[in-house]
Amino acid sequence: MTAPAPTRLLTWPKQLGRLRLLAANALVAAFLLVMAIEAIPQTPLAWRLSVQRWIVPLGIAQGPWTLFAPGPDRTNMRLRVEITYRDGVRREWTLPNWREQSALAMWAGHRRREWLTRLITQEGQPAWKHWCRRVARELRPELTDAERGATIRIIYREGVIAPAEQKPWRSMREPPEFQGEVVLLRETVR
Amino acid sequence: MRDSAYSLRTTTAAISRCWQTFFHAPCDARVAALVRIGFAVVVLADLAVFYPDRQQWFTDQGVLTAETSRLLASPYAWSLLWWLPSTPAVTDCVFAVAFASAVLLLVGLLPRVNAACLFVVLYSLEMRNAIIFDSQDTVIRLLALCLIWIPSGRCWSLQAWLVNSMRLRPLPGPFPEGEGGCSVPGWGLRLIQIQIAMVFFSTALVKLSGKEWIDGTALYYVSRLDDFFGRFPVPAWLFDTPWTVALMTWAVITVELTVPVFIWFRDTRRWCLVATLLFHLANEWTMHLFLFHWIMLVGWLSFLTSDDLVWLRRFVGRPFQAVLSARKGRPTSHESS
Repeated sequence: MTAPAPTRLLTWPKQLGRLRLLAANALVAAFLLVMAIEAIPQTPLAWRLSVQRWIVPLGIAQGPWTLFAPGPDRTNMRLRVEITYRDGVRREWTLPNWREQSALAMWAGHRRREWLTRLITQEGQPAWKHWCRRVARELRPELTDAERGATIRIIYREGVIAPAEQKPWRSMREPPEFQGEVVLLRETVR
Repeated sequence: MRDSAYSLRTTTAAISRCWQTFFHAPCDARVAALVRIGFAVVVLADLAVFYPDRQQWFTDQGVLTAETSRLLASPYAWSLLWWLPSTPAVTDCVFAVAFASAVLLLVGLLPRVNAACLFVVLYSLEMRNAIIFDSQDTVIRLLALCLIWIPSGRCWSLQAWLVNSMRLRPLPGPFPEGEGGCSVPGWGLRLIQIQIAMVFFSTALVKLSGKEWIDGTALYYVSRLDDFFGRFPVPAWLFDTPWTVALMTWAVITVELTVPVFIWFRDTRRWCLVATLLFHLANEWTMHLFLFHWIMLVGWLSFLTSDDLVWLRRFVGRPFQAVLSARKGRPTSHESS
């Protein structure tokens, strides 16, 4: 007579443990794969675009980390909004001079700075009109529907940093020099 | 001569063993708790800065309507703030949930649930106004995601205190108790480690394709960007002299390339941690980057080990002990021994 073969069935806690391990491994592998596709800049763009459909809704999109890369910006910018209200009153809003702000003000105002510096890029264009109208309301809080009938102009000035090849360098302490103005938006609100 | 050096079966088994050891070795629960606490502090600071302007950023009465914000976000994105009415009351509720989750995460009550809550809220806010979010918010979001998988409440938490004081035994887990106390599954922390190292490595790779980082002039341009640079005083000659600028530029690239590689080795890990600490603090001193360096430092905390904690306790604890003993007029344990 032969001895009965040892049973291969696992108890349910062990099965659950294995399942957990398998799930954890699958999650780790998926996360690493996505990270590699997204963060390694040499990954083909087509691959990166093809995973967006899945990773954006899952909240794991990150993109390549372009922190002052491939090269830092070479421009400083200033922004001004000129508003002529329907009653003929003129008001002007200007971007703060960052050099005159305290470290604390810059820290606490980080989101405002982020908003203003990215607003003027192509990416921020859809937000221009709504933002201008809000500025118009803020500058004349006493006027009902202040933005109605107002003519608004967003004016942009750029200060290109001289190329490093041009020596001697201007000191970092010297304020940037700004060149001509560009009107980004001119609108009369109806 | 043998046909081939390796068999497929043994190689697969070896890779599998390495994977298991790397990702599933338990880690010190105190490290997980440190990351949790650091993360919660950073998120609370972030929310506190958002709070006064929350209506301006996230309602239709503010600078960006929900409709326009959809144009600025990815077509695959979603946001709770797109589904809910765009009113001040809703934004207040969302912020109340975010604050509550961050505080509960800080004290360690249901940390995984609260990390999940924060992840959903932060993602929703980010999609609602993508213009004001940047790299630091991506790091925060990804760390929140990783914290969902880490049982970070097993020590230095209200949850652990409640379990102990009510004499409840924690639910049995698949991992044994560590030497210095309890341990937690390591894979969540491993994800944080890889993610943080990848941030450095990825940016270094992108920088290598930039002319300014190779010829050593990148920091010349950075130091003249008036919205980023000049947080606290630095000697002007450092950024006005070409050779010092070149040295600093190449130092940045070197740190960003080498740390993500050498931090994985026992012999060089501590040096890498010291280098990253100095790197982030130097950047924090000179530049206005809000919470980026602090959330990165929280991420680097995940590389600490039990030995580091013992060393830190001795290193940081000794001066405190000396001060306390001096106040009581007693010799320190070090002196008495």
